[in-house]
Amino acid sequence: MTGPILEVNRVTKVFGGVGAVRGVDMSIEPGSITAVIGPNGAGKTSLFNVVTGFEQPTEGTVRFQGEDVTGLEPWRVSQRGLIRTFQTPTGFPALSVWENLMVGGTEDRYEGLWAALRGTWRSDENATHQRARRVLSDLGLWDLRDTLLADLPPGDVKLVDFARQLMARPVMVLLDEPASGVDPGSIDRLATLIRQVRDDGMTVLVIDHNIGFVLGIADRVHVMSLGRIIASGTPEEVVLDPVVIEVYLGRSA
Amino acid sequence: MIDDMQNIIFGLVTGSILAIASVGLSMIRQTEGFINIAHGQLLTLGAFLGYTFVSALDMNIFLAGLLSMLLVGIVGVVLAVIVFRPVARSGPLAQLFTSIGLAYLLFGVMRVIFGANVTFFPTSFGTRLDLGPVNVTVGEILIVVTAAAVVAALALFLSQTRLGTWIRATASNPELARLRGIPVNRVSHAVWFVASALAGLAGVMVGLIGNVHSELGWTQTLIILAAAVLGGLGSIYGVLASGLLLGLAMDLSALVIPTSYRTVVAFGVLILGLLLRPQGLFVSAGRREA
Amino acid sequence: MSGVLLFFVGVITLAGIYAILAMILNLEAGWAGMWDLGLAGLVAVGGYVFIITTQQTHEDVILTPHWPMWAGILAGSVAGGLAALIIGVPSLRVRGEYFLITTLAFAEVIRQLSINLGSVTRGTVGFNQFSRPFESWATGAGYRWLLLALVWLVVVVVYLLMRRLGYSPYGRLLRGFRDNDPVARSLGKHTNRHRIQTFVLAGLLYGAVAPLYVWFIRTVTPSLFTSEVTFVTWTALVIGGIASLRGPVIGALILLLVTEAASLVQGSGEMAVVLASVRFIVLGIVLILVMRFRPEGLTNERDAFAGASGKG
Repeated sequence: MTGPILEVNRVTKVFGGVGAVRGVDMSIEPGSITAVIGPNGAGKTSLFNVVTGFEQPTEGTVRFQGEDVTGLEPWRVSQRGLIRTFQTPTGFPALSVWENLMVGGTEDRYEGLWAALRGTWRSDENATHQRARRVLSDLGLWDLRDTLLADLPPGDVKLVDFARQLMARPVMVLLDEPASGVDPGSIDRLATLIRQVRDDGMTVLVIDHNIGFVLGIADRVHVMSLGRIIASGTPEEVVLDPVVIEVYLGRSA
Repeated sequence: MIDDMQNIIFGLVTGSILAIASVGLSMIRQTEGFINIAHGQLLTLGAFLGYTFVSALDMNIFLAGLLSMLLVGIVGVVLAVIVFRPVARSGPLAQLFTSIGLAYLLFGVMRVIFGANVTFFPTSFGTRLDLGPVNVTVGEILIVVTAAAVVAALALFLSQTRLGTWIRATASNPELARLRGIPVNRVSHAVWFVASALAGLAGVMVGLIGNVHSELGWTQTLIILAAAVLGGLGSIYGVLASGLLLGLAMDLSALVIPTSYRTVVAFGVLILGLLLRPQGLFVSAGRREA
Repeated sequence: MSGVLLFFVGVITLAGIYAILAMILNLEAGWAGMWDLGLAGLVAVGGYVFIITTQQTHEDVILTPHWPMWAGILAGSVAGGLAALIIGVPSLRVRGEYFLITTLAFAEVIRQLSINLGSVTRGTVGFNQFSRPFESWATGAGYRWLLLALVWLVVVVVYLLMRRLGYSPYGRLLRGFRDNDPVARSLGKHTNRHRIQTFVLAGLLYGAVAPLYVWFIRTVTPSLFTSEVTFVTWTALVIGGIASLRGPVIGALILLLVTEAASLVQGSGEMAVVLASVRFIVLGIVLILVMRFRPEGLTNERDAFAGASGKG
């Protein structure tokens, strides 16, 4: 496939008269790792919400793999392979780590009422189980597989969040602060896994506050402030950009 | 035409009662975070108390109404402290089912004390005044006037007093209110008192225009819930308006279909409301989702 | 002595019926998170459709198709499912309390309709003469034992069905999105379709098992389907352990033994009213105490589904 995989055109999202996202344009190449950084309230999560269908844009369009997905319901966007994670540690608290991944990895046709009544899901279960095992092992979580998510510390929940969304076979994954709350040792494993999925052909868009983490993995960085993109470039270019240093690095570092 | 007018009067009376009953439910939903299924039983308690004061103690109806209101209000606060406070942290499911349990407990206790028979207020409110095209009883006028006065008083209380401001703040954002140092317990007591007292008053009124019996709470609960949902469960004025609207809808429908279908009409209005405006007819406030 | 024995046969039969209802409720409420306060209405729909389509003795109603029993059970089941569809679609669009209130209101409406549509339902008089299945096999006291066996056979069948659903990816998904709908949608799950399907399945099941209740009580009147049925079922589920597997059955047995024991004491006149009221008081206190001291119930979801990844 040629051309950008995700095109965000002049997207604006207004909440009660306040522009959370203001005329953002963004174009993402397939197989890249792109980072969006910016201070709190810059509109990063709102942008994610609009792209993944959780919010309707006030203006603008979102195209994914050439198709207009603006305003589609979240599950429809997700079924096209555009899958997000959430900023807060979340997931299915009453299910074990393993079950969380299995929900992520099980396709519609094995998950419905009919499949349950007829037992056809069994044919798929083992393959999904093997994938879950691999992903959990990569993240060092295999030993925790039978622990309920409700009993896990927030940092580990964040790792499970990433793993579960990966199980849904995204074409492109949007990670909302994947490293926040994760302990330093696991952050390296997380970074390795993100690079690995990119090498497998996945496109990654990531928001994070941990500048070191983001700049270490990203090919390209967009800096947002007050709902706008104020700078774009390689990590090296961005950290040296005087505008960026002023509005972002200057304030939070 | 004359029938229309007459039914509008009936609807106004029903709607007034419904409005003051629903607004209490809605206040508790807003500040305490759950739907109190036992609200209808507090209404029944008001009806029984009022009836007992008037018939057994030969009390003046106004005094009886006021006293029932106060007593039901106090019962509400006591129940809040001993029954609901201990499960406050166990989540909405526990609170909801505690309220269902309480509804059964109150229902059973009232049947033991007051019996299962249908009774009527022995008052002379039944005299009809001939007002040209329509007949109105003194009681009906008094109900509408009292309801209007109570609503006005409630509005003043909520907007003009410090406690009222705290209640509104807690209703719009309980978490924030707690953080801002609003005295949560006092707000909670006040809300339970006001909501229960209003239910008690509504009970006396229901008894006055109809009859008093132990099943009253269950039938009223349904209509109260419908009014509260239509009002969006949130805004107090929305609930007042939808209470009136539902009362009018139920009594005006009597022109076309038999009165025994009143609850069916209320349900129809509820379903229609949900289909057209899922957030509630008069409100667009943000919904609470996990 | 045999009177007391037969009384307990009756209690255990009724407990079995409530165990079935509680298992169905556990599917929709415990696992899928839909707080249905109107299941009595769905049971009523099933029960009335069954009796109207199959009864042979009351000729003063406008509908007397005289269908065979199996067709009546099927019709009752389909009607229950349809009713669930009709109330589920508008009320499940908005989550949480709206569903709860709509279902509660629905049950009351069905009850009102069953009182008012006398030409179809025989109003408050209802149906009181109809045949029951396998009546040629046993009579009198013997039939009570037969009904007991029939009810508990259905308990086992429904239990196996729930086990099959609960341990499948479908059950896993329900227990997942119950607690976190946005994450499920972010995984491409059409959660509302699953909710509606589940509620319709619950409606089909309530409708299908309603004849058991009708056969046990031996009359069909509006007072059979008050919200008491709903709340007794909920209390049984809550006592036994919501979202577990065996909880509904255990809870129904305990609750019915406790509340029905009160009716062992015979009374007359005003005493009868007091005794009947005591049942409500006991029910209320049990519910309040369980919520306060053991909100997760006697068995729990955690144990029912522990070690699911054991295979490898």
